[in-house]
Amino acid sequence: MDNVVSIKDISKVYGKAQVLRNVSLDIPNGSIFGLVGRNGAGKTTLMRIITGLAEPTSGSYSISGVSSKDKEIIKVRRRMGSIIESPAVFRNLSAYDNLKLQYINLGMTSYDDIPGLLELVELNNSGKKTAGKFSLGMKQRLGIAVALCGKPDILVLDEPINGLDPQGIIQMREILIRINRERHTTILISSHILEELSKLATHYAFIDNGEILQTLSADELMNKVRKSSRLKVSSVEDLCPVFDRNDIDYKINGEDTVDIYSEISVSRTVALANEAGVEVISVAENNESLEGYFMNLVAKREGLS
Amino acid sequence: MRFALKSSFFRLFRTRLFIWVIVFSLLTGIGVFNSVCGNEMMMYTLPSLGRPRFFDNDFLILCLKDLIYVFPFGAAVFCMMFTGSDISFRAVNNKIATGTPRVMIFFADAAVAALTALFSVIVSAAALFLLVKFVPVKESVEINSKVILTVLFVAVIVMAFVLFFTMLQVFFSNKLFGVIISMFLIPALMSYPGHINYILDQPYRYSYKDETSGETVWELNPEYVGGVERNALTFSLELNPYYGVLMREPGNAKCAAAAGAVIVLSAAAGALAISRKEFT
Repeated sequence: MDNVVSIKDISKVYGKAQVLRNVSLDIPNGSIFGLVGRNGAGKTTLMRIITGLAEPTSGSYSISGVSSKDKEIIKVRRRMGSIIESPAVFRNLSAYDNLKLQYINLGMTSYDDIPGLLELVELNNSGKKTAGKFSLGMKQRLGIAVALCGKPDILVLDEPINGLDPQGIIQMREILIRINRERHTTILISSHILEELSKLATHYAFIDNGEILQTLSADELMNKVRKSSRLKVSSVEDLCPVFDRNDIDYKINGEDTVDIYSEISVSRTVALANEAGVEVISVAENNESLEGYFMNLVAKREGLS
Repeated sequence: MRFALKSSFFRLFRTRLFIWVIVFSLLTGIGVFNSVCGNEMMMYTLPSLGRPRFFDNDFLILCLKDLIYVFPFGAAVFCMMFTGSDISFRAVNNKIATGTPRVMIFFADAAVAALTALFSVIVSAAALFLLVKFVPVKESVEINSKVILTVLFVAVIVMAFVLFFTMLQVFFSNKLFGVIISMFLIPALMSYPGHINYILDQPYRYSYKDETSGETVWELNPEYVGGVERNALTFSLELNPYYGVLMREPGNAKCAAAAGAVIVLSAAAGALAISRKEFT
Protein backbone atom coordinates (compact mmCIF):
# COMPACT_ATOMS: atom_id res chain seq x y z
CA MET A 1 0.00 0.00 0.00
CA ASP A 2 1.50 3.37 -1.02
CA ASN A 3 1.68 6.25 1.39
CA VAL A 4 -0.49 9.17 0.42
CA VAL A 5 1.04 11.46 3.04
CA SER A 6 4.61 11.18 4.30
CA ILE A 7 5.85 13.39 7.10
CA LYS A 8 9.56 13.66 7.71
CA ASP A 9 11.11 15.13 10.86
CA ILE A 10 8.62 17.94 11.25
CA SER A 11 9.14 20.28 14.19
CA LYS A 12 7.08 23.29 15.10
CA VAL A 13 8.04 25.98 17.58
CA TYR A 14 5.75 28.77 18.79
CA GLY A 15 7.90 31.28 20.64
CA LYS A 16 9.60 29.18 23.31
CA ALA A 17 7.14 26.31 23.14
CA GLN A 18 8.06 23.34 20.99
CA VAL A 19 4.75 21.88 19.85
CA LEU A 20 6.09 19.21 17.50
CA ARG A 21 9.42 17.38 17.78
CA ASN A 22 10.81 15.59 14.74
CA VAL A 23 7.52 14.00 13.84
CA SER A 24 7.73 11.37 11.10
CA LEU A 25 4.65 9.57 9.89
CA ASP A 26 3.44 7.67 6.85
CA ILE A 27 -0.26 7.57 6.08
CA PRO A 28 -1.15 4.62 3.83
CA ASN A 29 -3.40 5.19 0.86
CA GLY A 30 -7.01 4.20 1.54
CA SER A 31 -6.57 4.00 5.29
CA ILE A 32 -8.51 5.61 8.12
CA PHE A 33 -5.60 6.90 10.13
CA GLY A 34 -6.40 7.74 13.75
CA LEU A 35 -4.24 10.32 15.46
CA VAL A 36 -4.47 9.73 19.20
CA GLY A 37 -3.20 12.19 21.78
CA ARG A 38 -4.07 14.35 24.73
CA ASN A 39 -5.04 18.02 24.51
CA GLY A 40 -2.03 20.02 23.44
CA ALA A 41 -0.18 16.93 22.25
CA GLY A 42 0.28 18.48 18.81
CA LYS A 43 -2.46 16.73 16.80
CA THR A 44 -4.13 19.90 15.54
CA THR A 45 -0.80 21.57 14.78
CA LEU A 46 0.25 18.56 12.73
CA MET A 47 -3.04 18.63 10.82
CA ARG A 48 -2.77 22.37 10.28
CA ILE A 49 0.69 21.88 8.81
CA ILE A 50 -0.50 19.14 6.45
CA THR A 51 -3.40 21.29 5.27
CA GLY A 52 -1.13 24.30 4.70
CA LEU A 53 -2.66 26.47 7.41
CA ALA A 54 0.67 26.59 9.24
CA GLU A 55 4.27 26.18 8.20
CA PRO A 56 6.63 23.76 9.94
CA THR A 57 9.65 25.28 11.67
CA SER A 58 11.74 22.46 10.24
CA GLY A 59 11.20 19.24 8.32
CA SER A 60 8.98 18.55 5.37
CA TYR A 61 6.08 16.45 4.21
CA SER A 62 4.78 15.16 0.94
CA ILE A 63 1.26 14.66 -0.31
CA SER A 64 0.78 12.13 -3.11
CA GLY A 65 4.52 12.20 -3.64
CA VAL A 66 4.78 15.98 -4.01
CA SER A 67 7.04 17.64 -1.44
CA SER A 68 5.77 20.55 0.67
CA LYS A 69 8.74 22.53 -0.64
CA ASP A 70 7.58 22.05 -4.22
CA LYS A 71 5.31 24.73 -5.70
CA GLU A 72 3.12 21.96 -7.11
CA ILE A 73 1.91 21.26 -3.57
CA ILE A 74 -0.77 23.92 -4.11
CA LYS A 75 -2.25 21.87 -6.96
CA VAL A 76 -2.06 18.65 -4.94
CA ARG A 77 -4.00 20.33 -2.13
CA ARG A 78 -6.97 20.51 -4.48
CA ARG A 79 -7.26 16.78 -3.86
CA MET A 80 -7.57 17.32 -0.12
CA GLY A 81 -10.51 18.20 2.11
CA SER A 82 -10.35 19.16 5.75
CA ILE A 83 -12.07 20.18 8.94
CA ILE A 84 -9.70 21.64 11.48
CA GLU A 85 -11.21 22.07 14.97
CA SER A 86 -14.61 23.28 13.78
CA PRO A 87 -16.40 23.09 10.44
CA ALA A 88 -15.44 26.05 8.25
CA VAL A 89 -18.82 27.06 6.91
CA PHE A 90 -20.55 30.37 6.31
CA ARG A 91 -23.35 30.73 8.81
CA ASN A 92 -25.29 33.10 6.60
CA LEU A 93 -25.31 30.75 3.61
CA SER A 94 -27.47 27.66 3.06
CA ALA A 95 -25.93 24.19 2.91
CA TYR A 96 -26.23 24.22 -0.89
CA ASP A 97 -24.57 27.64 -1.19
CA ASN A 98 -21.75 26.63 1.16
CA LEU A 99 -21.01 23.69 -1.11
CA LYS A 100 -21.33 25.83 -4.23
CA LEU A 101 -18.84 28.29 -2.74
CA GLN A 102 -16.36 25.48 -2.18
CA TYR A 103 -16.90 24.27 -5.75
CA ILE A 104 -16.06 27.79 -6.92
CA ASN A 105 -12.95 27.82 -4.72
CA LEU A 106 -11.90 24.59 -6.40
CA GLY A 107 -12.49 26.07 -9.84
CA MET A 108 -15.27 23.63 -10.68
CA THR A 109 -17.98 24.81 -13.02
CA SER A 110 -20.49 22.00 -12.70
CA TYR A 111 -22.51 21.82 -9.52
CA ASP A 112 -24.36 18.61 -10.40
CA ASP A 113 -22.73 16.66 -7.58
CA ILE A 114 -24.00 18.97 -4.84
CA PRO A 115 -27.38 17.23 -4.29
CA GLY A 116 -25.56 13.88 -4.03
CA LEU A 117 -23.16 15.28 -1.46
CA LEU A 118 -26.02 16.74 0.57
CA GLU A 119 -27.73 13.36 0.45
CA LEU A 120 -24.55 11.62 1.58
CA VAL A 121 -24.38 13.77 4.71
CA GLU A 122 -28.16 13.68 5.12
CA LEU A 123 -28.67 17.40 4.63
CA ASN A 124 -30.72 17.14 1.44
CA ASN A 125 -33.80 18.42 3.25
CA SER A 126 -32.14 21.49 4.79
CA GLY A 127 -33.51 23.71 1.99
CA LYS A 128 -32.78 27.43 2.29
CA LYS A 129 -32.10 27.25 6.01
CA THR A 130 -28.81 29.01 6.71
CA ALA A 131 -25.96 27.13 8.38
CA GLY A 132 -26.17 29.47 11.38
CA LYS A 133 -29.50 27.86 12.25
CA PHE A 134 -28.13 24.31 11.99
CA SER A 135 -27.55 22.05 15.00
CA LEU A 136 -23.93 21.19 15.82
CA GLY A 137 -24.34 17.78 14.20
CA MET A 138 -25.72 19.33 11.02
CA LYS A 139 -22.85 21.83 10.94
CA GLN A 140 -20.33 19.01 11.36
CA ARG A 141 -21.97 17.06 8.54
CA LEU A 142 -22.00 20.17 6.37
CA GLY A 143 -18.30 20.61 7.17
CA ILE A 144 -17.70 17.04 5.99
CA ALA A 145 -19.67 17.75 2.80
CA VAL A 146 -17.61 20.91 2.17
CA ALA A 147 -14.44 18.89 2.73
CA LEU A 148 -15.71 16.29 0.25
CA CYS A 149 -16.24 18.79 -2.56
CA GLY A 150 -14.24 17.85 -5.61
CA LYS A 151 -13.99 14.20 -4.49
CA PRO A 152 -10.75 14.54 -2.53
CA ASP A 153 -8.28 11.69 -2.17
CA ILE A 154 -7.45 12.72 1.38
CA LEU A 155 -9.70 13.93 4.16
CA VAL A 156 -8.15 15.57 7.24
CA LEU A 157 -10.61 15.68 10.13
CA ASP A 158 -9.71 17.18 13.47
CA GLU A 159 -12.14 16.13 16.20
CA PRO A 160 -15.11 15.74 13.83
CA ILE A 161 -17.31 14.12 16.49
CA ASN A 162 -16.62 16.65 19.22
CA GLY A 163 -19.83 17.79 20.88
CA LEU A 164 -22.07 15.41 18.94
CA ASP A 165 -24.83 13.46 20.66
CA PRO A 166 -24.69 9.62 20.50
CA GLN A 167 -26.94 9.53 17.44
CA GLY A 168 -24.79 12.17 15.73
CA ILE A 169 -21.67 10.15 16.50
CA ILE A 170 -23.16 7.01 14.94
CA GLN A 171 -24.29 9.02 11.90
CA MET A 172 -20.83 10.54 11.50
CA ARG A 173 -19.16 7.13 11.84
CA GLU A 174 -21.38 5.65 9.15
CA ILE A 175 -20.71 8.57 6.81
CA LEU A 176 -16.94 8.30 7.27
CA ILE A 177 -16.93 4.55 6.70
CA ARG A 178 -19.02 5.01 3.55
CA ILE A 179 -16.67 7.71 2.25
CA ASN A 180 -13.66 5.51 2.90
CA ARG A 181 -15.16 2.37 1.36
CA GLU A 182 -17.13 3.82 -1.53
CA ARG A 183 -14.82 6.64 -2.56
CA HIS A 184 -11.55 5.07 -1.37
CA THR A 185 -10.75 8.32 0.40
CA THR A 186 -7.86 8.25 2.84
CA ILE A 187 -8.97 9.77 6.13
CA LEU A 188 -6.68 11.26 8.75
CA ILE A 189 -8.80 11.68 11.86
CA SER A 190 -8.18 12.75 15.43
CA SER A 191 -10.62 12.33 18.27
CA HIS A 192 -10.76 12.42 22.02
CA ILE A 193 -13.40 9.72 21.97
CA LEU A 194 -10.98 6.84 21.57
CA GLU A 195 -13.59 4.10 21.75
CA GLU A 196 -15.29 5.70 18.76
CA LEU A 197 -12.00 6.05 16.94
CA SER A 198 -11.29 2.36 17.53
CA LYS A 199 -14.46 1.53 15.58
CA LEU A 200 -13.18 3.43 12.55
CA ALA A 201 -9.44 3.48 12.27
CA THR A 202 -7.36 1.04 10.28
CA HIS A 203 -4.10 2.62 11.46
CA TYR A 204 -3.06 4.58 14.52
CA ALA A 205 -0.40 7.04 15.56
CA PHE A 206 -0.03 7.90 19.23
CA ILE A 207 1.30 11.36 19.88
CA ASP A 208 2.24 13.00 23.15
CA ASN A 209 4.07 16.21 23.93
CA GLY A 210 4.78 16.75 20.26
CA GLU A 211 6.38 13.34 19.72
CA ILE A 212 5.05 10.29 17.95
CA LEU A 213 5.13 7.50 20.52
CA GLN A 214 4.07 4.69 18.25
CA THR A 215 2.43 3.96 14.91
CA LEU A 216 0.70 0.70 14.22
CA SER A 217 -2.10 -0.87 12.26
CA ALA A 218 -5.47 -1.76 13.77
CA ASP A 219 -4.54 -5.48 13.58
CA GLU A 220 -1.31 -4.88 15.46
CA LEU A 221 -3.19 -2.87 18.02
CA MET A 222 -5.83 -5.58 18.39
CA ASN A 223 -3.07 -8.04 19.16
CA LYS A 224 -1.74 -5.74 21.80
CA VAL A 225 -5.00 -4.83 23.43
CA ARG A 226 -6.77 -8.19 23.12
CA LYS A 227 -8.50 -9.78 26.09
CA SER A 228 -6.28 -11.60 28.53
CA SER A 229 -6.27 -13.12 31.99
CA ARG A 230 -3.63 -11.75 34.30
CA LEU A 231 -2.15 -14.38 36.55
CA LYS A 232 -0.12 -13.64 39.65
CA VAL A 233 1.92 -16.70 40.49
CA SER A 234 4.76 -17.79 42.79
CA SER A 235 7.12 -18.51 39.85
CA VAL A 236 6.68 -17.48 36.24
CA GLU A 237 9.84 -19.35 35.26
CA ASP A 238 8.42 -22.74 36.23
CA LEU A 239 5.00 -22.05 34.69
CA CYS A 240 6.15 -21.09 31.19
CA PRO A 241 7.36 -24.58 30.06
CA VAL A 242 3.96 -26.03 30.97
CA PHE A 243 2.17 -23.29 28.97
CA ASP A 244 4.51 -23.91 26.01
CA ARG A 245 3.74 -27.64 26.06
CA ASN A 246 0.00 -26.92 26.03
CA ASP A 247 0.15 -24.29 23.23
CA ILE A 248 -1.09 -21.53 25.45
CA ASP A 249 -0.55 -18.01 24.16
CA TYR A 250 0.93 -15.90 26.94
CA LYS A 251 3.14 -12.93 27.70
CA ILE A 252 5.38 -12.54 30.73
CA ASN A 253 4.54 -9.26 32.36
CA GLY A 254 6.92 -9.24 35.34
CA GLU A 255 8.66 -11.57 37.79
CA ASP A 256 5.41 -12.94 39.13
CA THR A 257 2.84 -11.89 36.51
CA VAL A 258 1.86 -13.50 33.25
CA ASP A 259 -0.90 -12.54 30.77
CA ILE A 260 -2.72 -15.44 29.09
CA TYR A 261 -4.34 -14.68 25.74
CA SER A 262 -5.70 -18.15 24.95
CA GLU A 263 -9.28 -18.93 25.92
CA ILE A 264 -8.79 -21.09 28.96
CA SER A 265 -10.90 -21.66 32.06
CA VAL A 266 -9.66 -20.66 35.49
CA SER A 267 -9.81 -24.27 36.75
CA ARG A 268 -7.63 -25.49 33.85
CA THR A 269 -5.18 -22.65 34.46
CA VAL A 270 -4.92 -23.60 38.11
CA ALA A 271 -4.54 -27.28 37.15
CA LEU A 272 -1.64 -26.41 34.79
CA ALA A 273 -0.04 -24.32 37.51
CA ASN A 274 -0.32 -27.23 39.95
CA GLU A 275 1.25 -29.46 37.29
CA ALA A 276 4.23 -27.08 37.25
CA GLY A 277 4.29 -26.90 41.01
CA VAL A 278 3.47 -23.20 40.95
CA GLU A 279 1.07 -21.52 43.34
CA VAL A 280 -1.60 -19.25 41.78
CA ILE A 281 -1.95 -16.14 43.94
CA SER A 282 -4.63 -14.33 41.91
CA VAL A 283 -6.44 -14.38 38.56
CA ALA A 284 -7.90 -11.21 37.05
CA GLU A 285 -9.54 -10.38 33.72
CA ASN A 286 -7.42 -7.94 31.80
CA ASN A 287 -9.35 -6.17 29.03
CA GLU A 288 -7.21 -3.32 27.77
CA SER A 289 -8.96 -0.72 25.64
CA LEU A 290 -7.46 1.71 23.13
CA GLU A 291 -7.72 4.30 25.87
CA GLY A 292 -5.90 2.05 28.32
CA TYR A 293 -3.26 1.21 25.74
CA PHE A 294 -2.67 4.89 25.04
CA MET A 295 -2.51 5.74 28.73
CA ASN A 296 0.00 2.95 29.31
CA LEU A 297 2.07 4.23 26.45
CA VAL A 298 2.07 7.76 27.87
CA ALA A 299 2.81 6.45 31.37
CA LYS A 300 5.78 4.45 30.03
CA ARG A 301 7.08 7.54 28.24
CA GLU A 302 6.71 9.70 31.33
CA GLY A 303 8.44 7.00 33.34
CA LEU A 304 11.33 7.13 30.93
CA SER A 305 11.66 10.90 30.87
CA MET B 1 -7.04 34.60 -8.97
CA ARG B 2 -10.10 34.08 -11.17
CA PHE B 3 -11.57 31.47 -8.82
CA ALA B 4 -10.73 33.50 -5.73
CA LEU B 5 -12.44 36.55 -7.26
CA LYS B 6 -15.46 34.50 -8.31
CA SER B 7 -15.68 33.09 -4.79
CA SER B 8 -15.52 36.56 -3.21
CA PHE B 9 -18.20 37.90 -5.58
CA PHE B 10 -20.38 34.87 -4.88
CA ARG B 11 -20.16 35.60 -1.14
CA LEU B 12 -20.91 39.27 -1.68
CA PHE B 13 -24.08 38.57 -3.60
CA ARG B 14 -25.30 35.38 -1.89
CA THR B 15 -24.95 36.65 1.68
CA ARG B 16 -27.14 39.65 0.76
CA LEU B 17 -24.31 41.91 1.82
CA PHE B 18 -24.63 43.61 -1.54
CA ILE B 19 -28.26 44.55 -0.85
CA TRP B 20 -27.18 46.07 2.46
CA VAL B 21 -24.49 48.04 0.60
CA ILE B 22 -27.12 49.49 -1.75
CA VAL B 23 -29.45 50.32 1.14
CA PHE B 24 -26.56 51.95 3.05
CA SER B 25 -25.47 53.93 -0.02
CA LEU B 26 -28.96 55.25 -0.70
CA LEU B 27 -29.62 56.11 2.94
CA THR B 28 -26.22 57.81 3.20
CA GLY B 29 -27.00 59.89 0.09
CA ILE B 30 -30.35 60.97 1.52
CA GLY B 31 -28.86 61.53 5.00
CA VAL B 32 -26.01 63.68 3.71
CA PHE B 33 -28.42 65.68 1.54
CA ASN B 34 -30.60 66.25 4.58
CA SER B 35 -27.65 67.13 6.78
CA VAL B 36 -26.09 69.60 4.31
CA CYS B 37 -29.46 71.25 3.77
CA GLY B 38 -29.99 71.57 7.51
CA ASN B 39 -26.48 72.48 8.62
CA GLU B 40 -25.11 74.44 5.72
CA MET B 41 -28.16 76.07 4.22
CA MET B 42 -30.33 76.31 7.32
CA MET B 43 -33.40 74.91 5.64
CA TYR B 44 -35.56 71.90 6.11
CA THR B 45 -35.04 69.22 3.53
CA LEU B 46 -38.41 67.71 2.81
CA PRO B 47 -40.36 70.94 2.40
CA SER B 48 -37.50 72.30 0.32
CA LEU B 49 -37.86 69.59 -2.31
CA GLY B 50 -39.31 71.25 -5.36
CA ARG B 51 -39.06 74.72 -3.86
CA PRO B 52 -35.72 76.34 -2.99
CA ARG B 53 -33.22 77.83 -5.42
CA PHE B 54 -30.00 76.98 -3.61
CA PHE B 55 -29.19 73.67 -5.19
CA ASP B 56 -26.36 74.14 -7.61
CA ASN B 57 -23.11 72.29 -8.39
CA ASP B 58 -21.35 73.78 -5.36
CA PHE B 59 -24.08 72.38 -3.15
CA LEU B 60 -23.74 68.98 -4.85
CA ILE B 61 -19.97 69.00 -4.33
CA LEU B 62 -20.47 69.96 -0.71
CA CYS B 63 -22.76 66.95 -0.29
CA LEU B 64 -20.37 64.64 -2.11
CA LYS B 65 -17.44 65.64 0.09
CA ASP B 66 -19.50 65.09 3.21
CA LEU B 67 -19.87 61.44 2.20
CA ILE B 68 -16.33 61.03 3.53
CA TYR B 69 -17.69 61.49 7.04
CA VAL B 70 -20.11 58.56 6.80
CA PHE B 71 -18.60 56.05 4.40
CA PRO B 72 -15.61 54.97 6.52
CA PHE B 73 -17.98 53.72 9.23
CA GLY B 74 -19.88 51.71 6.64
CA ALA B 75 -16.58 50.50 5.23
CA ALA B 76 -15.46 49.26 8.67
CA VAL B 77 -18.69 47.29 9.12
CA PHE B 78 -18.53 45.96 5.56
CA CYS B 79 -14.94 44.75 6.00
CA MET B 80 -15.94 43.04 9.24
CA MET B 81 -18.85 41.26 7.56
CA PHE B 82 -16.95 40.41 4.39
CA THR B 83 -13.29 39.70 5.10
CA GLY B 84 -13.71 39.39 8.87
CA SER B 85 -16.40 36.72 8.50
CA ASP B 86 -14.24 34.83 6.02
CA ILE B 87 -11.53 34.52 8.66
CA SER B 88 -13.75 34.22 11.74
CA PHE B 89 -15.89 31.46 10.20
CA ARG B 90 -12.60 29.79 9.15
CA ALA B 91 -13.98 29.64 5.62
CA VAL B 92 -10.62 30.98 4.51
CA ASN B 93 -9.19 27.65 5.74
CA ASN B 94 -11.17 25.86 3.04
CA LYS B 95 -9.55 28.01 0.38
CA ILE B 96 -6.02 27.56 1.72
CA ALA B 97 -6.43 23.84 2.34
CA THR B 98 -7.70 23.35 -1.20
CA GLY B 99 -4.75 25.12 -2.72
CA THR B 100 -5.80 28.74 -3.31
CA PRO B 101 -2.65 30.86 -2.88
CA ARG B 102 -3.00 32.97 0.27
CA VAL B 103 -2.04 36.23 -1.43
CA MET B 104 -4.73 35.64 -4.05
CA ILE B 105 -7.31 35.19 -1.30
CA PHE B 106 -6.40 38.59 0.15
CA PHE B 107 -6.25 40.35 -3.21
CA ALA B 108 -9.59 38.88 -4.26
CA ASP B 109 -11.25 40.05 -1.06
CA ALA B 110 -9.56 43.46 -1.26
CA ALA B 111 -10.47 43.91 -4.93
CA VAL B 112 -14.12 43.01 -4.34
CA ALA B 113 -14.25 45.27 -1.28
CA ALA B 114 -12.67 48.16 -3.23
CA LEU B 115 -15.04 47.68 -6.17
CA THR B 116 -17.98 47.58 -3.78
CA ALA B 117 -16.74 50.81 -2.21
CA LEU B 118 -16.53 52.43 -5.64
CA PHE B 119 -19.99 51.18 -6.53
CA SER B 120 -21.35 52.38 -3.19
CA VAL B 121 -19.92 55.90 -3.68
CA ILE B 122 -21.39 56.04 -7.18
CA VAL B 123 -24.82 54.96 -5.87
CA SER B 124 -24.69 57.62 -3.15
CA ALA B 125 -23.51 60.25 -5.63
CA ALA B 126 -26.30 59.27 -8.03
CA ALA B 127 -28.83 59.48 -5.20
CA LEU B 128 -27.54 62.93 -4.30
CA PHE B 129 -27.60 64.04 -7.90
CA LEU B 130 -31.20 62.87 -8.31
CA LEU B 131 -32.24 64.55 -5.07
CA VAL B 132 -30.67 67.83 -6.14
CA LYS B 133 -32.24 67.48 -9.58
CA PHE B 134 -35.69 67.39 -7.98
CA VAL B 135 -35.70 71.17 -7.59
CA PRO B 136 -37.09 73.39 -10.35
CA VAL B 137 -33.78 75.14 -11.13
CA LYS B 138 -32.44 72.13 -12.95
CA GLU B 139 -30.06 73.94 -15.24
CA SER B 140 -27.83 74.97 -12.32
CA VAL B 141 -26.79 71.35 -11.62
CA GLU B 142 -24.83 69.36 -14.15
CA ILE B 143 -22.30 66.58 -14.21
CA ASN B 144 -19.09 68.38 -15.06
CA SER B 145 -15.44 67.56 -14.58
CA LYS B 146 -15.45 69.09 -11.10
CA VAL B 147 -18.28 66.82 -9.98
CA ILE B 148 -16.63 63.76 -11.50
CA LEU B 149 -13.29 64.65 -9.89
CA THR B 150 -15.00 65.04 -6.53
CA VAL B 151 -16.73 61.67 -6.88
CA LEU B 152 -13.38 60.11 -7.80
CA PHE B 153 -11.69 61.86 -4.88
CA VAL B 154 -14.32 60.52 -2.46
CA ALA B 155 -14.09 57.05 -4.05
CA VAL B 156 -10.29 56.96 -3.66
CA ILE B 157 -10.55 58.03 -0.02
CA VAL B 158 -13.23 55.41 0.70
CA MET B 159 -11.23 52.72 -1.12
CA ALA B 160 -8.20 53.61 1.00
CA PHE B 161 -10.29 53.09 4.11
CA VAL B 162 -11.65 49.80 2.76
CA LEU B 163 -8.22 48.46 1.89
CA PHE B 164 -6.82 49.51 5.25
CA PHE B 165 -9.72 47.92 7.14
CA THR B 166 -9.45 44.74 5.05
CA MET B 167 -5.79 44.56 6.00
CA LEU B 168 -6.71 45.07 9.67
CA GLN B 169 -9.24 42.23 9.51
CA VAL B 170 -6.60 39.89 8.08
CA PHE B 171 -4.09 41.07 10.65
CA PHE B 172 -6.29 40.70 13.74
CA SER B 173 -8.31 37.55 12.84
CA ASN B 174 -10.99 38.54 15.34
CA LYS B 175 -13.52 40.47 13.30
CA LEU B 176 -14.98 42.35 16.27
CA PHE B 177 -11.56 43.48 17.43
CA GLY B 178 -10.80 44.53 13.86
CA VAL B 179 -13.96 46.61 13.57
CA ILE B 180 -13.41 48.25 16.99
CA ILE B 181 -9.89 49.33 16.00
CA SER B 182 -11.27 50.57 12.66
CA MET B 183 -14.03 52.53 14.38
CA PHE B 184 -11.52 54.21 16.70
CA LEU B 185 -9.30 55.22 13.82
CA ILE B 186 -12.01 57.19 12.03
CA PRO B 187 -12.74 59.75 14.79
CA ALA B 188 -8.98 59.99 15.42
CA LEU B 189 -8.50 60.99 11.78
CA MET B 190 -11.47 63.34 11.94
CA SER B 191 -10.20 65.16 15.01
CA TYR B 192 -6.63 65.33 13.73
CA PRO B 193 -7.00 68.53 11.62
CA GLY B 194 -8.61 70.43 14.51
CA HIS B 195 -5.85 69.37 16.88
CA ILE B 196 -3.04 70.19 14.45
CA ASN B 197 -4.65 73.49 13.48
CA TYR B 198 -4.70 74.46 17.15
CA ILE B 199 -0.94 73.78 17.35
CA LEU B 200 -0.19 75.60 14.10
CA ASP B 201 -2.32 78.57 15.09
CA GLN B 202 -0.20 79.25 18.18
CA PRO B 203 1.42 82.69 17.82
CA TYR B 204 5.20 82.99 17.62
CA ARG B 205 5.12 85.36 20.58
CA TYR B 206 2.44 86.88 22.74
CA SER B 207 2.11 90.13 24.65
CA TYR B 208 0.68 91.21 27.92
CA LYS B 209 0.53 94.47 29.84
CA ASP B 210 2.86 94.72 32.83
CA GLU B 211 0.71 95.96 35.71
CA THR B 212 3.57 97.78 37.50
CA SER B 213 5.18 99.53 34.56
CA GLY B 214 2.10 99.67 32.38
CA GLU B 215 4.19 98.68 29.37
CA THR B 216 3.34 95.99 26.84
CA VAL B 217 5.70 93.03 27.27
CA TRP B 218 6.39 90.58 24.43
CA GLU B 219 7.39 87.01 25.19
CA LEU B 220 8.15 84.01 22.98
CA ASN B 221 5.37 81.44 23.00
CA PRO B 222 6.83 78.05 24.13
CA GLU B 223 3.95 76.25 22.43
CA TYR B 224 4.85 77.67 19.03
CA VAL B 225 6.03 75.02 16.63
CA GLY B 226 8.39 76.05 13.88
CA GLY B 227 10.96 74.78 11.42
CA VAL B 228 10.91 71.20 10.18
CA GLU B 229 8.34 70.16 12.75
CA ARG B 230 5.91 72.82 11.51
CA ASN B 231 6.46 71.75 7.90
CA ALA B 232 5.91 68.11 8.85
CA LEU B 233 2.71 68.91 10.70
CA THR B 234 1.43 71.05 7.82
CA PHE B 235 2.29 68.26 5.40
CA SER B 236 0.51 65.64 7.52
CA LEU B 237 -2.49 67.93 7.72
CA GLU B 238 -2.67 68.20 3.97
CA LEU B 239 -2.70 64.42 3.71
CA ASN B 240 -5.66 64.07 6.05
CA PRO B 241 -8.92 63.55 4.13
CA TYR B 242 -10.93 65.49 6.68
CA TYR B 243 -8.69 68.55 6.32
CA GLY B 244 -9.66 68.87 2.69
CA VAL B 245 -13.33 68.65 3.57
CA LEU B 246 -12.94 71.05 6.46
CA MET B 247 -11.17 73.63 4.37
CA ARG B 248 -13.68 73.20 1.53
CA GLU B 249 -10.92 72.97 -1.00
CA PRO B 250 -12.15 72.03 -4.46
CA GLY B 251 -9.63 69.27 -4.94
CA ASN B 252 -6.84 67.87 -2.85
CA ALA B 253 -4.17 66.22 -4.92
CA LYS B 254 -1.88 65.54 -1.96
CA CYS B 255 -4.66 63.88 -0.01
CA ALA B 256 -5.67 61.77 -3.01
CA ALA B 257 -2.02 60.76 -3.48
CA ALA B 258 -1.82 59.84 0.20
CA ALA B 259 -4.97 57.74 -0.18
CA GLY B 260 -3.36 56.03 -3.16
CA ALA B 261 -0.29 55.33 -1.05
CA VAL B 262 -2.49 53.90 1.71
CA ILE B 263 -4.15 51.62 -0.87
CA VAL B 264 -0.79 50.33 -2.12
CA LEU B 265 0.72 49.96 1.36
CA SER B 266 -2.40 48.28 2.78
CA ALA B 267 -2.42 45.85 -0.14
CA ALA B 268 1.25 45.06 0.44
CA ALA B 269 0.84 44.76 4.23
CA GLY B 270 -2.28 42.62 3.84
CA ALA B 271 -0.54 40.31 1.39
CA LEU B 272 2.39 39.98 3.76
CA ALA B 273 0.11 39.40 6.77
CA ILE B 274 -1.91 36.66 5.07
CA SER B 275 1.16 34.88 3.72
CA ARG B 276 2.79 34.77 7.17
CA LYS B 277 -0.37 34.09 9.12
CA GLU B 278 -0.89 30.88 11.07
CA PHE B 279 -4.54 30.03 10.63
CA THR B 280 -6.34 28.24 13.43
